[in-house]
Amino acid sequence: MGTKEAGKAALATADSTDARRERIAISVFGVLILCAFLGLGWRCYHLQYASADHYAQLSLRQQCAYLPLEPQRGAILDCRGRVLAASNQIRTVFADPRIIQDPKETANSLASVLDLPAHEICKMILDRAGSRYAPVAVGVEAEQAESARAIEGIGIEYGWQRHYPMGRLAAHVVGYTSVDNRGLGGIEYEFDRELRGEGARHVFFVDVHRRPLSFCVEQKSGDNGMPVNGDGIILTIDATIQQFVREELLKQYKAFEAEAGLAVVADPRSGAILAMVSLPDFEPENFSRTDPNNFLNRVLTDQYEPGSIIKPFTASIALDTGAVNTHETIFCENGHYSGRGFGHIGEYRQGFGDLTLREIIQNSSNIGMAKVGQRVGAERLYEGLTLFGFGKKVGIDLPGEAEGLLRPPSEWTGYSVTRIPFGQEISVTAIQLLRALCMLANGGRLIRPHAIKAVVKPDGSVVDIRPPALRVGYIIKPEVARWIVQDAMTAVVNDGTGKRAKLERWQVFGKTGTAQLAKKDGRGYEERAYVASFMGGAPAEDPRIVVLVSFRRPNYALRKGYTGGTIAAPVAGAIIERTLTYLEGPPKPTPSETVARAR
Amino acid sequence: MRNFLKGRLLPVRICLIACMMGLLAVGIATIYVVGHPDEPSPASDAAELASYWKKQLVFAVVGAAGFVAANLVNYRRLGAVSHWIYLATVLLLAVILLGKYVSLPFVPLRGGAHRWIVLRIGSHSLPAIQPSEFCKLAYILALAWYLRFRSNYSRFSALLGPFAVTLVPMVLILLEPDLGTVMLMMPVFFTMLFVAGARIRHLAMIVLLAVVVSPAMWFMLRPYQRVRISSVLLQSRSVRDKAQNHPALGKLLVGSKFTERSWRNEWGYHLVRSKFAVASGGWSGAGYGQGPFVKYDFLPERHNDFIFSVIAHQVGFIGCIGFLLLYVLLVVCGLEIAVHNTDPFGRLMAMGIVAMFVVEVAINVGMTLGLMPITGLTLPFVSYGGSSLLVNMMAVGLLNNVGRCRPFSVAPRKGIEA
Repeated sequence: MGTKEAGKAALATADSTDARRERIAISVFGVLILCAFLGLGWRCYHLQYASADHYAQLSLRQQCAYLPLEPQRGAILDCRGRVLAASNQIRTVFADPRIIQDPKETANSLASVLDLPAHEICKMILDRAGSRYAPVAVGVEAEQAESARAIEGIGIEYGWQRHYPMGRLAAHVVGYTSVDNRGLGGIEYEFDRELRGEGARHVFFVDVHRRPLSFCVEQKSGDNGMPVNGDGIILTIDATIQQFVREELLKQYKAFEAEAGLAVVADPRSGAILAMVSLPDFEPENFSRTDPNNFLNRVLTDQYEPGSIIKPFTASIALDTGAVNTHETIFCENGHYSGRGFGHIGEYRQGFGDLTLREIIQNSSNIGMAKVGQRVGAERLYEGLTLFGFGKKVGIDLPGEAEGLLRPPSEWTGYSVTRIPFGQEISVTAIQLLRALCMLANGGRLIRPHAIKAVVKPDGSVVDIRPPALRVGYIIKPEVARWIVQDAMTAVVNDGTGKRAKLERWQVFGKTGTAQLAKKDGRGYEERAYVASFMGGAPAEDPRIVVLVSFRRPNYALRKGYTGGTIAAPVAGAIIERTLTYLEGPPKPTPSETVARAR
Repeated sequence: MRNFLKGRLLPVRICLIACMMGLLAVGIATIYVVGHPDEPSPASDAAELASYWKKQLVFAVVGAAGFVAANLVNYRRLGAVSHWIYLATVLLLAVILLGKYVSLPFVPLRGGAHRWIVLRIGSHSLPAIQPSEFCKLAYILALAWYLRFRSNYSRFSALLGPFAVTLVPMVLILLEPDLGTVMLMMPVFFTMLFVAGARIRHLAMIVLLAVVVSPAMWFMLRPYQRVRISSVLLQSRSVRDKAQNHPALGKLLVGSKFTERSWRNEWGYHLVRSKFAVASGGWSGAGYGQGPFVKYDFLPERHNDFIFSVIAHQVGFIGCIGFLLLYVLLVVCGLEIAVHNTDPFGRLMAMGIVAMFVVEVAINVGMTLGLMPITGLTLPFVSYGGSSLLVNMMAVGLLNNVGRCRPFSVAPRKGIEA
């Protein structure tokens, strides 16, 4: 500090103790000052060198504004390119109350552009005074937006709004989205990542008043800083067939006051779902007050004891394993069959004597099927049913699928082997039944049900994502499958329980089912609570479509009937007729008619 | 008038004046660059901000006149009238305080405080005068004069007189309110008492008393004053989390519910941005007129209270050290003058002035770095402001005066001539 010599000089002039003490005091003071400045210097070092990067980063973040760029969500189309869901650009006019000097004047000029009363606009602006954002009008036209933007303190915000032009028609398959364009159900949910696309954001360097100064400090996301629109998805669903199915199903659903109804149409050769309807349904654009139960796609989520509808599968397992053949007769005990270890089994309506396998299916004899089950045995029955896909998910490209329940034989009791063959003690979903039916109808080939046909990339290219046809996997012998479909199941429609599904133009095959609903506690069955189902397809010679129709808890008190043959079969018949007519066109005139017309 | 350089300790005094000129130059250059951002803020004061550097130049000329004026007479003659000067400034403070309760046209309310007197000639208003700035110097003068011969301050009762001299302006300034100037006066008072011979024991006792009383003082503070002091603690993330999770602690610290949002947008706004400005200067700085904190308006009050942040942003760590060294040199020169003057009045005055500079720099720079509470204390010679510049330059003038005069001695010794 250089005070030492000076201090000595001072010492020479002042020898009083006071003066020396004062000198010491000044030195002490000097040291304190030094400490103070060292402290400031150390702090500068800490801020500007030691943790400069940390602060620089924080500082940069504060000096940047981010403008998110939302991508357009991909469209969902049916198999013929009709739009089921699409996102349209929506313009929102907003005011910045902090910039606006005279709300009245701004409101007046905006009112002439937007066709809104000026006092209302003025109120909207004044209500949000002090904020930077006051939405004035949502969904304005492009020209209106352009003129509104020219007004001081008015801005346009661009967003996307999801539209479902077909409304409820395919609501469960297509799904629905939240306000922020996130998929919440169906395809929208399952393929959310593909549909959503990739957003981007622009980063601006802004001053303290948030005015942009320069563009883009960093561009990390999207395609070079621009958003990448989502992929479109093409379904295997055909909106026309979907329309037929929903119409027919809804008619019956209302007539019988059922708790729920479902219907699925599929192409048995590929497993492509052509239509899938679940009732009750919901409005995908306005679902806020919908009962949560209505969101369930019951084709996938509902698992129940199928009842008689499972008999063709049991029969085909029996034939395939050689436990029975098509010619022998089985004695059906005239309606009462009981024994040690499996209790008592009754028939549904009347007792039967000797029946062939076809007749057992045609008349839906429980005792006959129980005996078939006993012949097949637990192990082979279990293996066969597993091959048909019961007890595990079918792996369809839609969310919410249930597994069903098929216990392994080690857990079976004496009851199981006699009950499972006619659809008790096993729980299935509609999609599992449909898949099994497809495999019967296509001659025993393994298929996987799917609802998606292709993905459309933003550049327009189409990528087929259908599962490859599994030509190798036969789960039963083709001739067994052919006999079950063309012999046993056509008999059900022609002379058996499924007569109401009969059509003139095509030979329909099918099987009815009327299952009692098990009580919630698993002990016994509810009174007068049924699931009435019919599964079938046409034409029997070379099945082109298969259909499953099912109603849960039709109102028994109406006394109009509750069985699959009464309720579900006519719906299935109507669906098959309309669908095949649509697919094949009107009946071709026979050669003689052509000749007659030519004359 | 040109004689102000004549006399003893010429190199020290030249060094002192050079430091002052250097700091002035840095200040005006920074005020200029801050007044000419790339993107002027939309507020209407852009033109005014751009003109500040010219005004500061005028203030510097006025200050130079003040410097020369302080050298017109021997400083001891000033001492003889020091109590009148003291009384005059106290009177001004009293007038300002009156203006707080009775509407006086020349005592405007600015930034929630009555600190200025604005005189008008016709329609032109003269630059605002801040009496508390003048009071600092008057107080140092008066206290030095009071303490000059009463060399026995080893008794506690002898401290009561100086206390009274201190408390009157301090309370008046506290009521303005101007916490910064009060925070400045206490250390100056202690330094002068210490040098005058008060016992450390007694001083420690006073400090202890202050520590005991301070919790009560804390609750008397207004919320915004509390925030300014507690922001030193609140800049730590963990303290903020605690304040947010324990409402009682938050209330104690800021006087209302503590929220991170309020901290970011309101309470910590200034401090955080000031630290960002300093830190983003880095090792060697962004360069003169460069860097976002200079080009754009990210930091409010950057022409006066937070001018150090802008300087640090431009010159970086190396420049900061150089800049602070200017102050160190100035202070060392002041100490040198104090040591060489055996006249108690001159020595006490010099020490008081040095202490004033040190505390001003430490508090102002400390606040921009987050070490000190945020107060309205300016950075001497650098911050924009007429009163403060004039007073500080007059103070240096007085130092010069003390330095050049032959020390008063009751019994001159042989060999020492005038």
